[in-house]
Amino acid sequence: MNLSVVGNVVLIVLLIGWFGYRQTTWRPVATGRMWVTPLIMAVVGLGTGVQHGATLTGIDLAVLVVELVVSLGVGAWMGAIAHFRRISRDAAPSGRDAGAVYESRTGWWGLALWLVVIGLRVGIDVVGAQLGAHVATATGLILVLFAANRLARSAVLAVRLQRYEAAVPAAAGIPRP
Amino acid sequence: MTDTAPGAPPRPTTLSAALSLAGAALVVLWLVTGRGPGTAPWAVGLAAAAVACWVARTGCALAGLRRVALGLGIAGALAGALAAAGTNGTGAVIAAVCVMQAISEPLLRPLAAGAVAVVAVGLVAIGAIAHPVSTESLVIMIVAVGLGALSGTSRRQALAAQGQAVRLRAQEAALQEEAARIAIARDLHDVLAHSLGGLVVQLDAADALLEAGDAVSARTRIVSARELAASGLGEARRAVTTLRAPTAEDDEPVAPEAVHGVVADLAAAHRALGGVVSLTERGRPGPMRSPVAVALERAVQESLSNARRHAPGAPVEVDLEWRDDVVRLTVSNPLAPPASPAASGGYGLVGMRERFAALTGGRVDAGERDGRFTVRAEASRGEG
Repeated sequence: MNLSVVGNVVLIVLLIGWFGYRQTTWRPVATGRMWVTPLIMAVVGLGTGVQHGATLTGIDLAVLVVELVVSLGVGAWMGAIAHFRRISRDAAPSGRDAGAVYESRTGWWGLALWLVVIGLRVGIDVVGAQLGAHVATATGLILVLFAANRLARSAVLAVRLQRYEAAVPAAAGIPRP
Repeated sequence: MTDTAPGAPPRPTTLSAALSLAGAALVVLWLVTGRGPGTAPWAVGLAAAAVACWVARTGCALAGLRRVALGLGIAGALAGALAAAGTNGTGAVIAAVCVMQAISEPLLRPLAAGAVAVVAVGLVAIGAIAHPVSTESLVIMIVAVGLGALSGTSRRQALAAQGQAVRLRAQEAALQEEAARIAIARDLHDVLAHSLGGLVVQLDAADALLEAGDAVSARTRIVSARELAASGLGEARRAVTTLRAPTAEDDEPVAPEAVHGVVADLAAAHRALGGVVSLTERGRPGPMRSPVAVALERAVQESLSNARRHAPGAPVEVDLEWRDDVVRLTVSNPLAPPASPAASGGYGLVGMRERFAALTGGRVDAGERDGRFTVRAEASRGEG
């Protein structure tokens, strides 16, 4: 078991715990802010990937792109199955989430989809390593994949919220305290 | 599926279809001549199938079968993408063209269009895992598919903007039609309510007189009823003529004497119907724009009709006041309990307000004032 694998495992366990908790609880949807976390994750991930130093082969890139597409797809799926509801006036969030009108929860299916992403990541890494993809299996790049997942989820959720608001303009027009 | 809805892509012209087919032929040529060490047989076969989808898509688009064309476009995009690495990039060209055509189709929802592009890129990568290529080649193939998606998106947005413009024009036309309809309703009300209402009064009186055996007075009533009907008919004809062919005369200034004459005629008609009316005029009269004159005439007519209906026999005061550029009409009569014209729910006051609202500085106040029902209408005379 080399350091890369241990690093992957630790990161994965941490991320599963964190996102598992967030998936199954109602979270305010701050439409402006929901893009920030994934972007930071992507930048950090790419930075560590670049530090890795090895040259990117065609196979590396291909494996990365496939993983990215899968992450995006699963993220979009999560966005599609996420439930959302209006935040009640009494429980209006303050601080960073002030101004959020909706809150969302992806639920246990979302957690299952997370496990699918991680399973695929591990599977593709194993296959990629056999094919000679080394950069693609770097620990930091997993952050890029998570970022892609979050981005796709946010995009789909944003479209759904827009559609919902267009369908019920009266409900969306209620002024918030 | 036909392409008649606003925002639908126009059917391709014969020229653009011919260009598309020429492109497909060129790609086939590349596939045939490019076979060699860098290509994989499975990929060449897949690319050939993708070109077949491309050609069939062009035919379907030409025939107006948009849904089938969309399906073929997506199939061509995915097959071409998967074949890209195994055909030295020829598949990426097919994928780029098909992705562009599929994404530009408004039938495809935005998220689905994005998904087609992303999946196509993923398939290019899977193809590159099955048939490894250099990093640079793979980047170029992915960029090619991305460019196809980008130009498809721009075409899609252009179509959406066109559709929006068409809808806006339709909305505008509907609004104009609505305004015209309201104007016709107003003219109909003004002409018919005045003359028919007057006729009813006259004929009722004639009926009562005949019952009492006073045939001479009854005849007088009937004669004036006939005059009223004739003048109503004339007015209706004028209104219809104006509606049919609004002329430049509408914009010619109207002399104050003409307005005075019309108001005096209306007062005379009111008296003939058994009403009492006094006419006063203040200030220095001046010419006015035709719509202002018409609005004034209709306002006097409507107010007198209302007075006859709601306060029969009560003395009506009509006052025409000229002030600099503004002409103000005030018509008032003692309030007759219990109903007042404002409560009658008729269309007369509504029409009057609409007429004056359309004029510069035009407004109408109607309601109870010091125990009298008063209508006050004013408007700028315009550049008379």
